[in-house]
Amino acid sequence: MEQKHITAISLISILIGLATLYFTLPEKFEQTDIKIKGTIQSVEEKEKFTIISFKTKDVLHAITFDKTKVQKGDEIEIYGRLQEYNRKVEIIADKIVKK
Amino acid sequence: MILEILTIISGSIFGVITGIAPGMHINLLAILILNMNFDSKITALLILSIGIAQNFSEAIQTTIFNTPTPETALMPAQQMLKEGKGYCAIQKFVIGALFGTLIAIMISPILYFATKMIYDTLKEFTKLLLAAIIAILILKEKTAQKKIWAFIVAILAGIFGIIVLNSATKQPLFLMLSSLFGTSNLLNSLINRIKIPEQKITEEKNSFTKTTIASLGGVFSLLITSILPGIGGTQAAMLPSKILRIKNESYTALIGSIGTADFIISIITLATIHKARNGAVAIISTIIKPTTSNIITLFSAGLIIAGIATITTIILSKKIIQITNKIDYQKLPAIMMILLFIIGLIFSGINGPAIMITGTAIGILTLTKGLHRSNLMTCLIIPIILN
Repeated sequence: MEQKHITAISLISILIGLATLYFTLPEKFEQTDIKIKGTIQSVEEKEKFTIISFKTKDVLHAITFDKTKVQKGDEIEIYGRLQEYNRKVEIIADKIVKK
Repeated sequence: MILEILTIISGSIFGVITGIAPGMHINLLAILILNMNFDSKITALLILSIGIAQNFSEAIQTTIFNTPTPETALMPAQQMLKEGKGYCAIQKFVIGALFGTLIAIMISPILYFATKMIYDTLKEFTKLLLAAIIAILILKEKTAQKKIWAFIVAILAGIFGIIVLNSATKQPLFLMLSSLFGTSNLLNSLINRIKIPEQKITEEKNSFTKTTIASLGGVFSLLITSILPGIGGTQAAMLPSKILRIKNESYTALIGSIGTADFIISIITLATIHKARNGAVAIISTIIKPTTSNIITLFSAGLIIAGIATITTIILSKKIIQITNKIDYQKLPAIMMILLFIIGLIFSGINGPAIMITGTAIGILTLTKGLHRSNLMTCLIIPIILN
């Protein structure tokens, strides 16, 4: 194996990587679940989802597509994923636990 | 797609450059990148690119600048440098790193099923395996006197490791390994006036079969060691080198394969046993899930990074060797020693030079008694056993 062979293997590796990436690159990476604790500031029910504003260090917004019985002042723990919407980070809640 | 490719290319080149600089470890850079609030995909690809690429150019750091990392500490680079074969050492390491990436990705479906099985079988025996490794290292010395000295060095390095790793010092691994393996070697060169000849940049032929066997050995030993808590790349290198009788130049390829395959196997273990020994992969896991789709993307990026890093590191190593050939090589050990002590002082204050002086003394003892430097790896092994 000479230097030219190593270069050839490297270039083939790059090309295979590019081709695989072209066909498989997802729009977004599936993000790691997060768990966050806070106190509810407000609950706003929309037609298909509910927006919960809650306070940790900062005020964050969580979106849930399930029916929820939480209300202002409740201490909650939210499990979900982070999502960027209108240049703000919000949490898509999979599960909300009242503490 | 363009943005992702640009991220991979720039990350790979940046990784090769920072891989040469002592102390610029990916774990440190990954935390900085994490705080830059890029999109999760860009963050993950950037950390992966820099991390994998650094593993290629660490060969230059270890060979020319004498500052090894946990993966390259036992690389026979210094011996090859003394024979004027520094470029050859770097080239073999880089080929091993390339093959390690390609093999680990190719056999990833097998690794996926094997990791969980091996983890369940071996997790109870970690400490016993580590104790056996220390015993083998000591008994490997030829004479009874050397065995006694190896025992003393192993204990000293172990105590040194316990103190340094449990201290509040920043960058403890860098200080410990640079002194045990780096500054001690540099001081030894100065004391004994070891002449480093001009390094030849010759295109040596590499055996495809030997490199493949060495890289395969690296990947499979890493498969066992990476799922056991605390066993690192260097310990991983010891197993196949003994079993497959891999020596000298092939051993350099084996060590190269371990650094890069560690990334691929850590991504797999993250998916199967929810553990990643590799620090950069552990940081990536805090932002993205190890789903099949994400893993395929990371592996595709891995193929591109390996290709770019191979070509870039080889070109860069030629340039660096041409420069170092022009300066007086006898002055280089003194320059490097001063530089390492300054870096230690910047990173860790007065603790830095204090740790480095102690490590240098233990390293010098190993060299003057003619012992294998692998005995010094107890600095990492004993703290794990006692943990």
